[in-house]
Amino acid sequence: MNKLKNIFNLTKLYIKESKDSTSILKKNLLKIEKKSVLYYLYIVLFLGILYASVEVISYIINMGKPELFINSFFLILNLFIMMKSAMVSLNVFYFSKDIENILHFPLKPSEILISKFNTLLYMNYEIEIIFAIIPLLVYGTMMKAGLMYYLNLIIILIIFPVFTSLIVSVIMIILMKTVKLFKNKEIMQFLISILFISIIMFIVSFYTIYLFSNNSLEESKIIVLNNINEKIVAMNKIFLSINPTSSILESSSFILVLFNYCKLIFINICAFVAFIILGNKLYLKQLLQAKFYYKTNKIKNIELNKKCKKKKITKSYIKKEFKILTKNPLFFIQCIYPVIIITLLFIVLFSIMLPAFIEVLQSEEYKEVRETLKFDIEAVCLIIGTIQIIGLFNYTSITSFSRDGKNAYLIKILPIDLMKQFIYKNIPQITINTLLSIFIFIVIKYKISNIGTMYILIMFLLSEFFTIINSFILCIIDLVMPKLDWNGEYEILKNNKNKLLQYVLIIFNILFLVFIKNLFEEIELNISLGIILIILILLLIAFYIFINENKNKLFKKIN
Amino acid sequence: MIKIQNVSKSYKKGEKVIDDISLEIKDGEIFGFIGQNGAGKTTTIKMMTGILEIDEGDILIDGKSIVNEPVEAKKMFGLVPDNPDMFLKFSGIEYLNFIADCYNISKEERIKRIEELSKKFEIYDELDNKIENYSHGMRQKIVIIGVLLHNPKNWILDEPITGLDPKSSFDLKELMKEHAIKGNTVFFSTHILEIAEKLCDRIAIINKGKIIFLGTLDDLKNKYGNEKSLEEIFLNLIKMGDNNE
Repeated sequence: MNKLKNIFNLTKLYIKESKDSTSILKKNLLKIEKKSVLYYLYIVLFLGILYASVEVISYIINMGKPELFINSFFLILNLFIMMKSAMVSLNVFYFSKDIENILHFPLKPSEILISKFNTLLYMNYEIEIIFAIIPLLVYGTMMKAGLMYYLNLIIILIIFPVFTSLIVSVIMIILMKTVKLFKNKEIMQFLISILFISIIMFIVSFYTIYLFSNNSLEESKIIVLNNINEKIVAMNKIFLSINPTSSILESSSFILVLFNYCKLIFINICAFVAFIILGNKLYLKQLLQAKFYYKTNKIKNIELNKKCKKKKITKSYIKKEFKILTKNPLFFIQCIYPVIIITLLFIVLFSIMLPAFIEVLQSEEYKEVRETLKFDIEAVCLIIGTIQIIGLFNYTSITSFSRDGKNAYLIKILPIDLMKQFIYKNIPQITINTLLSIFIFIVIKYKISNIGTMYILIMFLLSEFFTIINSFILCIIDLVMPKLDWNGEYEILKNNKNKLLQYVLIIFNILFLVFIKNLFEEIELNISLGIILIILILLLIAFYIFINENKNKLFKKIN
Repeated sequence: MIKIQNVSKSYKKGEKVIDDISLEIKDGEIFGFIGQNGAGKTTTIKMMTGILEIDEGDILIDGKSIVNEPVEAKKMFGLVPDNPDMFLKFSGIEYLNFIADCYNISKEERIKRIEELSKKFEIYDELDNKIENYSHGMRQKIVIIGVLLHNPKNWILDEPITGLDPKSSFDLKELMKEHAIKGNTVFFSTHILEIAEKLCDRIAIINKGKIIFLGTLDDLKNKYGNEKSLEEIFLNLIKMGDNNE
C-alpha cells in the first residue's frame, strides 16, 4: 500500500516536472488551459485532423475496405508513440533534473522506475489525445458503430501505448548498459537518440516501400486496397499489440473480443515483468552513473603558436555560433536534428511515392487529371511552401539568443554593432536550411525532369528569401522574448513558449503562399516569379531597415 | 576615466532603482562601489557597460558616450561579471581566441598576453580543457584573462573576488593596483568592506539607488567616527538612509 502511495506521489511530481510548454494538459494534469495561443493552435490542428479523417475514412468505406483504416491507423499511432518514446525516454529515465532531488529519499529503485514509466506513458497519452481520439470517433460515427465500440475504444486507448512504451523503455535500459563504452555522457545521449530515431525512420521507409511495391495498375482499386490491407496486417504482427487492438474494435464477436483482450493483457504483463526485472537489476546503478558522471581534466602542454589564430570578427563570431550548436549535443538534438530528420523523411517518402504516383497517373482512368497537371504558380507555391514548412522545424533562430543563457549580456559588451550580431545569429539557421533546400531541389530536379533548371534556380532563390525573412522573424521573436534563465540545455525548447509562435509562422507561411497563388493565378509564370522576387527583396530590405532602426529597443531584454 | 552624469533608471514607471547618480572615476584611481544586495550596484555597472539602457543622463568612458557611441565606448573597458559561467563547451583557449578576435588583437600580441596571464593565474596547463570542467575559481580566472587580454584602460569588475582562492585573489588585487599605478582606472563593486578598505583610493556607497557617500575612506571615518569599524559606519549609514525616507 505504501509502495503504491509512493509511486502515485512520485508520478504526480514527475509529470508536473516534465510538463512542456506545448503540453496539451496543464496545471491540474487533466485541465486544458484555454487562454493561450496553444489552445487555438490545437483547435486548428483538431479541425485539420477532423477534415482529413472524414475524407480518408469516407474514401476507404466507399471502397468497401473499412478495416484498412483501423489496421493502418494503429500502425501509424504506434510509430508516433515509438518516436515520442524514443525521443523522450532517455531524458525521462536518466537525465531529468528531478531525479537528483529525490535520490536521497528512502525509495526503492522500482518505485522510481515505475513512476518514471508512468511519466512516459502520460506523454504518450497526450499523443493519443491529439492524434487518435478524433479519427477513431469519426470512424465509429461513419461506421454507425454501437455502444460497445465506444466502450472498447476507451479501454483500448488506455491500454494501447503501454506495450510500446514498455518495449522502448526496456531497449533504453539495455542500451544504457553500454554507457561504459562512452566517456562523454552527452555524446552517449546523442548517439542513443540518433540510433533510436534512425531505426524508426528505417522502419517507416521499409514499410512505405513494402506497401507500394508490386501493386499492379492493371488490378482494380479494391484489389490494390486488399493487397495493402493484407500487407499491413502481416507487418502489424511484428508489433504484437496492434492486431489484437484492431480486432477488438472491428470484431462483433464477444468471445473474440475477450480473447484479444486476454492476449493484450498477457503481452503487457510479460513486457512489464521484463521491464521490472531489468530495471531492478540495472536502473539505479545506471542512474547514478549518468547523474554523477565526472570528467577529469587532462593536463596538456599547450602549443599557443598553433592554437592561437587571428580571424576576422565575422568569421570568428559565426564560428562561435556553430560551435555552440554543435559542441553541445542537447542543442544539436533540439535545434537542428528535427529538421534533418524531417528532410530525410520527406526525401525518402517523396522518392518512393512520386514514381508510384506518376505510374498511377499514366493510367487511362486519370487521363483528365494528368492533363490538368502543369508546372505553374501553384506548383511553385507548393514546392516553396513544402521547403519552408520543413525548414521551420529548425529551431536555431528561435533560440539564437536564448542559447547564450545567462551570458547573453556579452552581446552587449562586445565592441560589435548590434545589427551585425543580429545577422551573425541568423547565419546558422539560414545555412542549415539552405543546405537542406539545395538537397531537396536536387531530388526534385532528379525526380521531376520536366521542370527546367532555370525554374529550379528561381525557386531556390525565392526559397532563400523566404528562409532569410523567416529566420529574421524568428530571431526577432527570440530577441523580444528571450528565455535566458535556464539551468540545463534541455530547457532551451522544453519550456520555451516562443516555439509556438514558430508554429504560427508555419500557418502564416501557408496562408501567404495561398494568397500569392490566388493573386498570380491568371498571370504568366515568368512575370509572376519576377514580381514575387521583387516583393520578397523589398520585404527583406524593409525588415533590415526596421531591425537596424530599432536595434536598441529590440535588444532591450538582453542583459 | 569614467564619468557617470545624472544617471537614472527605473524598471517600473515611477520606481527609480537608480536615482540621479553622478560619479567621476579619475585615471590612476581604484574606485570601490559599495552597497547591500539590491542597492543598485549591478544595475549601475550594467548601464556603464551598455548592457542596460539608461533612462536619463549619460556615461562617458574615456570621453566616449555609451549611449551615442556604444561600439567605441566598449573598446575602452573590460568587464569582469559576477557570474563566470560562460562558453562552457569551449576550451579555455577557444574562448580567449574568440575574445581576442572581437578586440582585433594580433596573433603575436595574443600569444604573449595569454601566456603571461595564464601563467600568472596558474591556469596555463588547463587552457586546452573545456571550461565546463573548470572549478568556479578557474572559470573566474579565464574570464578575467579574457578581459585583460585587450589591455583596456578601464577595468570594471562586478564582485571580482567572489570564488577566487586566496592566491588568485591576492594576484588580482595586485594586478588592480599595478593597473591603477600605470594611470588607468579600476572600478569595482563589492559588499566585502575589508577589500574596499585595503584597496580603494575612493569609494561610493549606494543605497536604494542613491549615492549616500562619496569620498575617501579617511573622509568616511572622519565624518562618521574614527573609533568605529567600517562595518559599523556602513550599517549606520544605511540605517540613516532608510530613516530619511
